[in-house]
Amino acid sequence: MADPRLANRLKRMPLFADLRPKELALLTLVMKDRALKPGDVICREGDPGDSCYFILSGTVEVYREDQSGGVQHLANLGESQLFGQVALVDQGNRSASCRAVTEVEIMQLDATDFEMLFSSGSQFAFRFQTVIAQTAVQQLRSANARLNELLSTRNRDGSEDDLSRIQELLESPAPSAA
Amino acid sequence: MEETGAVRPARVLEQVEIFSSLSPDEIDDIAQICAVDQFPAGTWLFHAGDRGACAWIVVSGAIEVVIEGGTRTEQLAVLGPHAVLGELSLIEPDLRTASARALEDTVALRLDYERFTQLRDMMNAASHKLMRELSRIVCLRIRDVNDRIEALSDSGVAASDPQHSGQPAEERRSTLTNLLKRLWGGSKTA
Repeated sequence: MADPRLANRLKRMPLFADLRPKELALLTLVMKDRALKPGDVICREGDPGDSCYFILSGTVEVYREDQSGGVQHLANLGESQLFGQVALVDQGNRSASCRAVTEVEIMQLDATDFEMLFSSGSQFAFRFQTVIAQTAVQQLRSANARLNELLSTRNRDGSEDDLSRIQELLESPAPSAA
Repeated sequence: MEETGAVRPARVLEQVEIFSSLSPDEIDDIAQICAVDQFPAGTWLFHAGDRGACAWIVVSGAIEVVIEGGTRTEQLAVLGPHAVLGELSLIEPDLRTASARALEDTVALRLDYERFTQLRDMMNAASHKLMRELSRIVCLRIRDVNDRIEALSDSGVAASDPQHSGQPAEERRSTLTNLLKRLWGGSKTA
């Protein structure tokens, strides 16, 4: 049974704002609602990508662990954001780990349902695909910004010139968007 | 099919990797919304910071992608026949992050975001397949950038350590340039 309250919550997310009641009902049928506590790990780098997630509430950290157990922070994600779709789209393994920072409520969409929504050629698939592509482009841009931030903090010796120009260019949009 | 001079857009598109999952009919759908641009050698296609709302597929000639520096210009990539330039602006228009100019007399197919979006709005199957391929490309680049972030973070001492306040300028330059080259190289087709 589709849960109408869940449909209402999904509809409030910009990602799904345009969806029709039937499409929302379909989503609530195929997605699982999960509640997490701070520190709970949602997915791990290197695992096969078998689901993607939509955040209903709370904060999720995207990170990587190095061999000595150190944590490299990549991004924080909040309400209405989507994560975990990279491995579903390119069918590779998880490129990073994700864990709950606060109490978190997420909707989980499994790979087979994702594939059905993404590739069916239905009207919903078109909308869903556009959302996935735009989200990915935005993630690429913030990853680029993060990279640039790292490069900047690593260089405080003042050696500049045209290199700072390259940094500027990295800073804004995705290099590949040109 | 729209044609200009001797250029047959469908014959070009069918040789480009990002269109490889499209049927001949679907290739024709994309070909119909392509325009043909001619760029005499030395002509700029765009400069970094320009708003980008179209992609090009090189038909003949060569386009170089460069960073225009104050004192010198750094070449990131040279794109020859069947290479694609700016394809991610078909997902969402954005500012160009580098500049591009024709190295020699160049003919290229132009695919506009507006026209591509109209195809998408019509639930055209070709646009659906192309969006899927573009999404895949973006995801691969996200991995690439995340790898770079990790490599940078692992490669040395904390940034706050004044003894190791960063890579030497030359090394940092090559890190950045390689990154940009890889990102731009990703637009090239096999």
